[in-house]
Formats: sequence, C-alpha cells, structure tokens
Amino acid sequence: MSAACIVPYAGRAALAADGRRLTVDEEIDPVVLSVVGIGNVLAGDDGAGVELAEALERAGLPPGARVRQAGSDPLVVLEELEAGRQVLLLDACRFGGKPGAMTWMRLDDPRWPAAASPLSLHGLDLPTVFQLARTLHLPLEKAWLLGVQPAATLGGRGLSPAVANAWPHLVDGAHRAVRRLLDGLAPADTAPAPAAGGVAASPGA
Amino acid sequence: MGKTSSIAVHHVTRVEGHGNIVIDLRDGRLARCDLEIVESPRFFEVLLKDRPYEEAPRITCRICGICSVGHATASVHAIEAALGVKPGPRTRGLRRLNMCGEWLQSHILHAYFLVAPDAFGASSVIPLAGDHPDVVTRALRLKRLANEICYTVSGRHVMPISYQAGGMSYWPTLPELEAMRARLEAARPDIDATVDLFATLAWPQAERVVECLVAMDEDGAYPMMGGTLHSSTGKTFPVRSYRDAMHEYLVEHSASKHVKGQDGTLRVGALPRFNLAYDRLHPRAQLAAQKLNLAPGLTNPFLYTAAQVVEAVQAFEEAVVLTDALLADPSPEDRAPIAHPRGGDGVGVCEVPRGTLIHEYDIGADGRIIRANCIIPTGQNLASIEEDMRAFIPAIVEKPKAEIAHFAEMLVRAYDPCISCSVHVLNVDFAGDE
Repeated sequence: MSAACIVPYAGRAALAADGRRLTVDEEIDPVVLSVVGIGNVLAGDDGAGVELAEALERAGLPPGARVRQAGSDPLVVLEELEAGRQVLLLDACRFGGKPGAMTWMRLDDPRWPAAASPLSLHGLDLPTVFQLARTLHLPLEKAWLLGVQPAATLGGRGLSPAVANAWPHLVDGAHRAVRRLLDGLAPADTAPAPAAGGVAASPGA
Repeated sequence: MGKTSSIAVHHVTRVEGHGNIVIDLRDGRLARCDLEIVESPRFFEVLLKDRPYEEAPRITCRICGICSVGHATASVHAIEAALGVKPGPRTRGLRRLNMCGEWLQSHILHAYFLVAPDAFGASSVIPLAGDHPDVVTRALRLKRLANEICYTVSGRHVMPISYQAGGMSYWPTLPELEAMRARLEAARPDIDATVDLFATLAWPQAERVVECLVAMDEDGAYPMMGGTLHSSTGKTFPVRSYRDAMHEYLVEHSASKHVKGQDGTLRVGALPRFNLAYDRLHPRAQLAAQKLNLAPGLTNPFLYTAAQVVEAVQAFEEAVVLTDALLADPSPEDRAPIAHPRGGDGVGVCEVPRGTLIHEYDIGADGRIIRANCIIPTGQNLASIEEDMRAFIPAIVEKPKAEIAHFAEMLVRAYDPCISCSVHVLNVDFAGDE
C-alpha cells in the first residue's frame, strides 16, 4: 500500500466541441446511455430487470451503452442523470398487462403516481426518486423505463413461467430499445401501453 | 404533555426496513420503551442449506443491497477458514478496495440522505434538495464514485459475483484502474466539502458508556477485513470464539435477536471503530476527525454519523492507496490452493459499514453447506438502541409528544440500522441434524 501515486489523467484539460472542459467521465468513460437493471433476483419476477440487464451485458452492448446493476437502489437513476447520461431503466412493473408483457414510459410522464412514502433506504420508491429528480432539476426526459409485467414477486429464485416464456421477446425488445435510444429515438416504435389506474414499480424498487 | 401518555411511531422513516417505536409514559415516568422489529424473517441461513459452498458469496450478497460486498466478504472468509485457504496479498488488497467502495457508498447515503435532513430542519432529502441542491448533488456524485469503485473491482456496481475461495474471478484491467484513479482524484474536493459541511452541524447531547466491539485487522490496518474481536472491556476473542464475545437472545417484541456483550448492551460500527482504532486512521481521516471535533472515547450515539464521515475519508484515502498499489502491479493473482478440500467448519468476519458481520458455515465432505449462521451488526446494536432510548427519554418527558417521537426516531436513525438484514431466522434446525 505504498506505491507511488499515479494520476494518469490529471491536467489533460481536454475540451469538448463547444469549448468547455470535459468532465472526468466524458474524458475517460464515454458512456452516453446507462442501462440500469433494478430488482432482486431472490424475489421471483422482481429480478426481471436485473436478469434482462445481465442478458444484454452477456450479449454485448453497442459502443456508448453500459449496464449498471442497481440492486434495489433507484437513486442510481439520479446518479446517472447527474453525470449527463441517458438512462434506460429495466424493472418489473405492474402496468396492467399480461405477465411477461413489456411496456415503456418516459420518466417525466405525468402518469407516474405521486411519491407514496417518506424517504427510506431499500424501500425508496421510484416516484419519490422522480420527485427528488424534479427538485434537483435533473433531466428526467432523458430517462426511460422498460417495464416487465410480473406474475409473482414473492420470495424465491427464478422467473415465473409466464415471464420465462416471454424471455426471448423481452431480451430482443430491450436490445432494440438500446439501439433506438442511441439513435435518438423512443425505446420502441409502438405506443407505450396505457396504464389503467397508473403504474406501480415492483417491490424491489 | 400529560403525565400519562403513549407514543407510537409506526414504521420509523429513513431507516432500512420496518421498525416501530413504542413509548408508554405512566405518571410522568417511562413505563415502556421498545423498538419493535416487525420485518418478516427472511431465512438467509436456510437459503444456504445444501447449496455448494461456491454459491454462498453469490447468494448472501443478495441479503443487502447496501452491504452486498460485506456479505460476500464475510462469506468467502468463512469458506476459506473452513477449507484452509489463504488468499494472496493482492487478492486481499482488491477485496479491501471493494469494501472501501461499499463503506463510502453506505456512509454517504446515511449521512447525506438520512441524517442531514434532520440537521437542516428538513422532513426528508426532498425539501433539503430544494433548499440546498448543491449538497444533494454532491452526495449523488460521491455515491456514484463509490459504486464505480465496486464496478471497477468486481465488474458489478452492487452484489458482486467474483468472490471465490482463494481468489477473485474478475480482475480490473490497467485502463480501468487508471480511470478509477482519475475519478478518485477528481472527487477529492467533494470529500473535503463533506467534512466541512458536517463539521458545521450540531449533534444532540446524549452520553452513555457502552461496551464497544470491533474485529481488528491483524496487519495493523483500520478495522475492515476482519480479525480478532476486541472489546472495549479489554478482552479479546479469536474469531472462532465469537459466541464468547456476543450472546444472542430473544425478546418478544422483535423479530430480530438481540445481542449483549460482556456485561450489558453492545455497540458495533463506526463509533466503536473510531474509539478503538483511532490510531490506525489515515492522517487525512485523523485531520477530518479534528475538524469534526472528535477524539477517541465517544459515548454519544448521535456521533455515529460524525464517525461515519471520518470513515468516508478513510475509505476514500485507502481507495487511493490501494488503487496505486494495483496500478503498480495490475496482473491478476492466482487463486490460493485449498488445503482441506473435505470441508469443515469456518467462521468469517469483516467490518461492514454498520459493524461486525459474522458468517459461519459447516461445509460437508461433498462441498455442500450443512449449517450456516449469520450475525448481522444491526442485531448487535438493537439492545443498545433500546437502552439509549430508555436512558435519554426520561429527561425529556415534559416535552411535546411530537418532539419526543422525533428525538427517538433520530436516535434510532443515528445507528444506521439495516432492519431487513437484522431479521432472519432465529434458531435454525436443519433436517437431519442430530
């Protein structure tokens, strides 16, 4: 623990196209899209977002995109927005579809319910995080949810049969969403599913 | 307020998990004051039964999204103790670097998001963000840095899957280490500003002398990676004798076991570590302690958060030193050989942000786990939290109910309890045990 100090990037002062100095992230880690998997794989379909993110990572993402596993911490979305990145949030999400169905939504969508609970830790809910993002004037319009309708989010490893059967379709949909977002498009060419009675993120979020 | 009253704080906010505070005042005296843990048991140990030991770090890291590195560390330590494996120095350094990331992440989260709102008179971090957006965005930057450390070390931001007996299945590349070193350097102003911010805050006064327990690293480093258990009573306990250092017992109102030490309640975590290992702190962390007006011998539980700020500096500075060491020699280290492949009983310990974490596994000759025991820091602190409330609340019984309730919540929060982790199976009887 006594090696000489090495600071390879100090003092480079690289500049962006608009003349401002690049941040450390922009200079050394040119990720423009963070694919955030959220949930708990020990809670059935609650782990669908985590498993999807892992599937994308295994298959390989296009340049400019990177997976970030968030566990059950949705504050990660804010951290990535604060770093100037787009976010694709993969999560189990009750939106009224059939188990295994997928929907998408921009995170500044007014259909999100208001924050439901005071801030806690693991129990932090997505609407509370979005309220915090708005308070901090973070660009929620750069963040998208790709939600998977769960069948069961109780204890136990593994996805439900309904979600497992839809898996190839879900992975393909997530891949296409990444490519479309990198091209400046919405995650899918279909309209987002209408959320009758609102949208509820899964317990893991 | 009246002489006879009851206060019930259901689901204490800004703590992890669900707990209730129940206070009964009779004729101006405190008749009952309990911290009810109402979280459902999660049966961690049962999840491990009959699983190949290789899976244990990957399963137990899912116990907690905040302490996932700590659980993986204690788990692999227990396996290595059972199998007679001694990992090499660079593997130990890499694992310690991952712990630095976790400490920084957890302490920043607690100090900024859970405690700072009280100090600023805000109900939560949301109004705090409205009044002090610079403070909250700084916290987000530091939290992200901490997660990037874990990503660089283990390939995942949380819940690492690279821990193996004797080594690590993932090793960062030179460019990844260089990038992290640059990130660390860029974050130094945020670390300095964190100390300056918390040095301005006033902490409630509440002194109670309580036994402190810490697992001291054997190499003289600040306690983090486990070692002999040191009590502030002067007693020491080998890791295998952890049951002599702490005694678990059941209380009716808690789904989590309570723990007592040598002669009463016990404190673990940042404040005991600061008290017992101050001289092991990095010079910059000691300087931070001076700015925060802290010296060893702390007895005020509200100073847990101040000690966490010191430890955030410690984790940051250690991350710099450990990264430089890895940059000097970034080649992966081979896994250490297994000396006792037929298994046995092993105890693993480490210091997670909230205190001493213990895993014990009995591994059979077939490589499967026969029996497991996990002792979580929050469980070790619960009895002390209750005793603190019982000691301090009688002095404020004449205050309005809301003020008493707020004080009690702040006191619980000060310990940074992770209630979900503390609640697991009580007495596990595996089928087939004699």
